[in-house]
Amino acid sequence: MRLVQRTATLTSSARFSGWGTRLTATAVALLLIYLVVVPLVLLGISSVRPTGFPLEPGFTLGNFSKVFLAGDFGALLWTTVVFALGSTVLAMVLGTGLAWLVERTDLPGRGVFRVLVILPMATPPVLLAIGWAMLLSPRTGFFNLLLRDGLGLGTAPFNVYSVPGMIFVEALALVPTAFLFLSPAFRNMDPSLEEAALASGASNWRLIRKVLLPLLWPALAACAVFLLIVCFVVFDIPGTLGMPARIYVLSTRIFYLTADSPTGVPLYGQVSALGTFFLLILAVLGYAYFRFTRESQRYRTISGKGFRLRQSPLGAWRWPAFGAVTLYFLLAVVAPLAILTWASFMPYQTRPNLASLSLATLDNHLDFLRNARLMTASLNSLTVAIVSATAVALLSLVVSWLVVRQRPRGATLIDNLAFTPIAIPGVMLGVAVVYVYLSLDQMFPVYGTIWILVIAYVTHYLSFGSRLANGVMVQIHPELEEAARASGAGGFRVLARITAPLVWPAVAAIWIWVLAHAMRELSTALMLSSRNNTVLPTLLWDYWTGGEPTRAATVGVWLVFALACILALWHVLSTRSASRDA
Amino acid sequence: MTPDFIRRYLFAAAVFSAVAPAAHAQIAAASLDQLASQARTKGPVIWYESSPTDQADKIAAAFAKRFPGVQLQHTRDAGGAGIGARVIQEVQGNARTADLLTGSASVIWQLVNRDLVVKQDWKAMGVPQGVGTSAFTIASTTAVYVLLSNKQQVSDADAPKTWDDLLNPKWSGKVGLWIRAEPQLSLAAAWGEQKTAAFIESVNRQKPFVFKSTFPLAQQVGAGEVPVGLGLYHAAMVPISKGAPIRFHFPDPVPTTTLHSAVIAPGKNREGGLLLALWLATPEGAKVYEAATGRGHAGVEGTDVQKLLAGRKLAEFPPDKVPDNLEMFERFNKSIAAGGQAVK
Repeated sequence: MRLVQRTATLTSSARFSGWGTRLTATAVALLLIYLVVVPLVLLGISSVRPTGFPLEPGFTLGNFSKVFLAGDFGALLWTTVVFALGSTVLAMVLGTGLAWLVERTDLPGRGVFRVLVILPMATPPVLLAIGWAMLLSPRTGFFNLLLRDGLGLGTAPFNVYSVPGMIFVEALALVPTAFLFLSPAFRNMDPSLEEAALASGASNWRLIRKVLLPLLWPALAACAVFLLIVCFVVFDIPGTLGMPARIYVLSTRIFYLTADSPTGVPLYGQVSALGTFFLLILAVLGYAYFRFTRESQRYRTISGKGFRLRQSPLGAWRWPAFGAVTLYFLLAVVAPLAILTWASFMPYQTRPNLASLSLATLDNHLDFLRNARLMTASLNSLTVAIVSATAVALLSLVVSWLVVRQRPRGATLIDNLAFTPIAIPGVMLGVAVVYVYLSLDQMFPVYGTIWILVIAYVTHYLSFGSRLANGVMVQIHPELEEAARASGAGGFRVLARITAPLVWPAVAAIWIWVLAHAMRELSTALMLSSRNNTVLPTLLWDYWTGGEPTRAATVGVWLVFALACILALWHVLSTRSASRDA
Repeated sequence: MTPDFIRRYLFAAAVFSAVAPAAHAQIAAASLDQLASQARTKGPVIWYESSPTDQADKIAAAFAKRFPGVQLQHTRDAGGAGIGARVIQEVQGNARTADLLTGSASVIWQLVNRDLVVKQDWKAMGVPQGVGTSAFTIASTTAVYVLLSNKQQVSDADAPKTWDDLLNPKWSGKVGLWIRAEPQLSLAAAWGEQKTAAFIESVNRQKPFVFKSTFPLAQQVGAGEVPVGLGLYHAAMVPISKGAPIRFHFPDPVPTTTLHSAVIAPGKNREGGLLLALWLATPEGAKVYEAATGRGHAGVEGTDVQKLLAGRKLAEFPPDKVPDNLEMFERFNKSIAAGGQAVK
């Protein structure tokens, strides 16, 4: 591979002036220390406190022994690893295939699929799990009953309350994340390399092995590591589908220690001890990530030379591929959303059949539209999501620009700090943020407001934003920026006029991803919730735990509808913007 | 556990159910009004409790009508254990915290141990011993456990009516349980730890489904996913009231979990907190609470739950004995979570 030219780091002449870089790096580092290190310190202190409350006295290592020397810890870890690896592999296979088909082939309806891919993200995982429980539960699951009765089987063929069931649903939920990670990478690949390989007589398999895979390696590695870590800490789906069947993973154990502690208060000490284990996993995976991407500059493909995307014709596979992609959307969006929509018209949870149709009512939807609390929660959700998404997108861009392009002293620290929050369980992040802002209440009275949610979400989602921005930034050759600098452009002008437009697809992807996730985030929101900062997911949780799954389904359906509207608007605006630029 | 120990707590439960009905009449309206006049000057009454917000709004509206000028602000924590943690964190951070907390005894005792609960002389306030459950707590509502079954999948004759019925092999893989061992803990007040632990193991051999909350458990019984279950009466009433095909039977004994209220010492409106606690123990307040949440006060005359429980043998430890039983509770919880492998 002779792609190697220069490193992704700008030559000294093209860099920001020394003081400007140092000032920006210092400001970003301080901000990250404040957002990330303070909660981590509290996590560490909590793990050695007898009560688990960081501000209470005492020292013990008992929390670690209780967690790690427990008889079932090995089995717990094994289940977690199987779940995390299984979900990651399946999501990577589906996400990579989807990104390639949408970005680099003549798949029919590519534009529509590109917009639709965001919809599974708009479905809160807990709702997706509830939807699939209604479809594949062993006794009353809609699909199971169809198959059992249709094929004359003695028992239901599927059981969603199992590790394979959890993996299947988790992978469906993660495919959009994989798509958003990989889509810009596919889009930014210089097709002349493929054309050169094909012109030299390379077979398709050789093209994939020798050109495409190496080019995509940084993005693939970043994506796989990210998904793996997410699968280690995710709660919603293992909690909904695993816990009823007593299948525990690390995150559900944390929930158990937090919500169902027999002592009357959450066992934060043990939760924090488990949190340190997450950090250990992160350290190992983070090291692997940096090893994978150390040579990533070799695979830069956006350079000063103009290029146009090459689309691979699918030929006879065009419609089968269309069918496969459609099947994914049927499984990830249509089927669960249909059953939830059905539930939203029911007075109580019941399986779809003609007899139940007579029970249909609009009550849940009318209640949603008339209920002032629901409207306030909707507005809060939207505000929190938009502000968080914008802040994460901008901060990720600056972090990535510093880490990949400018490489000031402390760049590695900034990169690590931006990545670390992913390993902090949402519950513990919530606890830590509560302590920080209770202590600073006189200076920053954000406790109990929607702004404390924004702070927590920015901290939590920065890891995704910075990974995605880094992955794209290393693909962009610095010669364009160097050319601009040589033409007399200042550092900020280069960032604004050259770098930012080039990474715009990634920034937009970050914005959309964070928006969708912030709209549905539950575990941190529950820890920080109060009367004045109710958001839709906490309201949905209220209904679900309050025995009203049909009202929860209604909130979910409207949540998905609202996100679909936002995404459609975003698509229209970005299409118009692209047309104007063209 | 010795037979004497068991008798003592069965006795406590019996005393509770016998004496409590007389409680309400002695909480004088005048003293409530006096508390209200003090509470009016101290800002809203902050109440931490587990009911859904829509339900709490109805209670707040009735409270404001009864005590004009005293505003009630409810904050929900569905997890239960999180309520106590929130108070501890807010006190440590010098922030405004709850004036009144309503929760299980295990939660409140964590606050008592940190000197965060105001000691009360309930007797002087006209609250009899049965409702003033300890020097720190007053009973506010009673969670009652029942055996549930799906009417369409289980015939009347087959529906579980006794504890042993749950162990019938025909229900293998078809029983729903709450992940928290609250009913089993209360059952231990009547049966003792050994018999209760053996019962938990027997139920575990049925490979039951465990639920994070009794509300989805009841929903799944209604949907037919788990045809039978051990759930909470008020959680089952939510789908039943909407027509779900669920029936229930009271086992013998009936385990109950009393939710207690405690006035929080660092609260800014302790008078308001006390006012709310006392009002919830009056027939008027108890009925408002029961109508809003479906969860009634077994110690207050005229409530639906008291009528339902009349003449039945109840089982529950008194709140001040909860700290002694935490280890047993933990063993029961682990056993349910692990499928019966952890009971010693």
